[in-house]
Amino acid sequence: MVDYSILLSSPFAPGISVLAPAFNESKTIIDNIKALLAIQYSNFEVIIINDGSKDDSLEKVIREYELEKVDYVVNYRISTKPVRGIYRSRNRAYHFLTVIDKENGGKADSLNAGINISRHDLFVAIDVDSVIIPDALPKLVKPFLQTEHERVIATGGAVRVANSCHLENGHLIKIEVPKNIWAQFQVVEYARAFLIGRIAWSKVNGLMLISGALGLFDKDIVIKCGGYNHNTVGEDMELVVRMRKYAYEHKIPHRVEYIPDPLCWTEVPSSLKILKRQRNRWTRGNMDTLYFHKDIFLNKKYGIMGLVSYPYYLLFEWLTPILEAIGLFYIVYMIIIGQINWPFLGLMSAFVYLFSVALTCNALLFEEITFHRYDKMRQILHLFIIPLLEPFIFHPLTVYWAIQGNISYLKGEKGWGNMERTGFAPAQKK
Amino acid sequence: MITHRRMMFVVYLATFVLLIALMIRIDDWLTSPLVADAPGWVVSVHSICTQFIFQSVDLRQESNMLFRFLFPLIIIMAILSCISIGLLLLVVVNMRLFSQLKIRRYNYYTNKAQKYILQYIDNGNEVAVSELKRIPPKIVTDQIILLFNSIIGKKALLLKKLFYELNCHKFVLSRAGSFLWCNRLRYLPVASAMQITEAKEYARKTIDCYMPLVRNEAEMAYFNLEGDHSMEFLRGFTRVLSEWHQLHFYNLMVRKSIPPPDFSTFFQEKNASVVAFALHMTRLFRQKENGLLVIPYLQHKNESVRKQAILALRDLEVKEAIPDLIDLYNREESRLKVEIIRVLGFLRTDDAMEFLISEMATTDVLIRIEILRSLDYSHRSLLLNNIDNFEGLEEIVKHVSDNRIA
Repeated sequence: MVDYSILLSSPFAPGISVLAPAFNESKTIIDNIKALLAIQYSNFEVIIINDGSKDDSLEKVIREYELEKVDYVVNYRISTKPVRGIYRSRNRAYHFLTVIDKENGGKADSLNAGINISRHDLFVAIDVDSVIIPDALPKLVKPFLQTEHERVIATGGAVRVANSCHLENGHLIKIEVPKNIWAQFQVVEYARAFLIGRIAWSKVNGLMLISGALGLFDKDIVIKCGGYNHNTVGEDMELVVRMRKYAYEHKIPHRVEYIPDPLCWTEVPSSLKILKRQRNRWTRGNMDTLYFHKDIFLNKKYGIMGLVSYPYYLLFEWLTPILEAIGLFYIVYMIIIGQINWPFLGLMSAFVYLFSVALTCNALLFEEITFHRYDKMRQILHLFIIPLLEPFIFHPLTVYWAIQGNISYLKGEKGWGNMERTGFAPAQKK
Repeated sequence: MITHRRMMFVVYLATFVLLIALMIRIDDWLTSPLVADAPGWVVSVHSICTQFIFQSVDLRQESNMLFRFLFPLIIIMAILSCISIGLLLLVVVNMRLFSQLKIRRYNYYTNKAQKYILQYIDNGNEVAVSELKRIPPKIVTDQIILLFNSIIGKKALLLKKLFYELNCHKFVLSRAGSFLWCNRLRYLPVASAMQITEAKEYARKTIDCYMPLVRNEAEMAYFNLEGDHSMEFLRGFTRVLSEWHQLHFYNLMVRKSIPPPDFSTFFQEKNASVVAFALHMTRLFRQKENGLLVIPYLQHKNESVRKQAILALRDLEVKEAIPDLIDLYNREESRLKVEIIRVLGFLRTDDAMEFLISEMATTDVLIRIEILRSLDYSHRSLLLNNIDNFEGLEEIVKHVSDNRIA
């Protein structure tokens, strides 16, 4: 019922800078920039930040988009690693594309460099390996215009799994359930997180996380609170928490909104090695944020974030894997000493399993009713098998990786680790 | 006043109370024997659950308050889980299999409706009217409105005539006044497009709806159905008129060439969002005669009102406002400071230039860039002749004109 096209020619449409950091993304970068340039919006610019890639990403982009190095005055409001050059296209068709080449400093540092150069009051941070749908910007910007009593400081959209999907000129033309089992597990995991958890948090204005793959931010607040923190691998969550803290401390009534529409499709890890690295990083990022902002915990000055969201993240996002592991060890111990009450354990496990399966199935049902992205019955049935297996295969692994993440954090490990891309499937020839 | 937040709170509270009531009821049911004539499946469920409680009888006795609620809760979760999985399968099967039948039926009637509507507007075929009367009114209405929104002129008038001849207006009216918000959301815009004036009353009642989406459609319909398009409903308006709603009004006025009312009549409203809207529209429709009336709103306590006042003074070229703008500049936060500089650079009176020259002494690079950016070539030269050189000035000046500056 909502007509987003009304924004395309409206003087009310605020300008948006799209920031996409890229590090060794040679395989997918051209397709992804095409998708960014195809965004439907009236007043936007695209800024690609090459974070000191070691592959030929920059050369590819220079060649494809006829870029030339230009003089550019930048008012560095947030400090970043040195910028080696700023490129604009000789072709007028790409006049809203800017490429920054800078020394490697990580994703947060790249985004800060993009913020410094951006012209508009709002910016979108996206992963360049993700594909955003053409009308993502009007959907993301609507809460900024529709706000009634509070200032919207950030909005985020749902992220979906794009492995095995077909891409043509930067557009997703065919959506498929991934062929890889690990990617399939992540399809249901993403559906559950984005279609149940975040909607609820957004309703009570308790969101503490906007996915790094796609988020729209109020640049003014971001700059005032110092930009992205490059001392953490969970910079997306840390920024949202810091923005909200800033808003609470300066008594700015605010909201962080979430849009459940699948606005962004991303390639998820399809090998255990990469997946393990990603989960390890997520745990460390989560711990960093919780540690940096420990003063929020049960502090009524920070409203619902301090009283509900932060304790939730502490108990259910950080502590749960540890408690789960302790629980499992305790059961094993009880079995060894012969004190286990088998019928009770069986019934309890059955209830927990049933609940877990039902929750995931509900998320898939919600997807089927509202967005209906998977066309074939076979695909849907296939997806419904995944929740039955998930508690036995994928969930124990995520618990294990989370504990490893805790250990890595305590050892003081930093860094992202490599995320190898396979690239999207090309469009099939007719 | 009912607001979205209050509604949500009531729903959460009601759900919570219901859950507790259900837990107590289930606990009673589990701890008491079943009636003799209970169905077999009830006996089985009761037996499994009682067995579950029996296994934990020690724990229950030790800490009965906690376990008294925990076990019924788990059982409720299990029941809800089973129900949801069952429903899920039903819905998916329905959507995937039976919906095909529905779609086929819908397509059949849609094609038929399109065929007869085209026959009617091409040659006024009366047979088409009788055929259209046999098609469900919802489909006919949808098809007429779809076509009506994309054509203009004589054929659009014919479509409107057909709409009334088929009594679609009665169908639309019944839906626009429906208790269900989804019907109002869908049919108020139709009533508005087809100028069903009887729907104005329904639109007026819906204007106070707590759901912004429904309220927006009602506001638009009411405005469009008003004979004089005076936006009278904004007087004493208690809800917030968000920018999203404002842009719809603007779009409607431009698209339908509706003459805008005198927006200065809303300047006195208590509702800040209405005042901001009035200022914004005064600017967009260039109501220059209201220029001087805008100046007092530079002192308004609401930031968005002040911002709209600053922008309106620029676009209406109100040079009399310059002393007030300079006065406001020192009290304003950085975002509005930039807007004030843009206005002063655009108006370029002697006072404004003098102020901008003095502000170039500031160390804030952003302000310096904005000052240089806001001036045209000749005034920029004038300013540069009157300021001291500073590090980076040459580079800033060089790139202000080619826009390679951030």
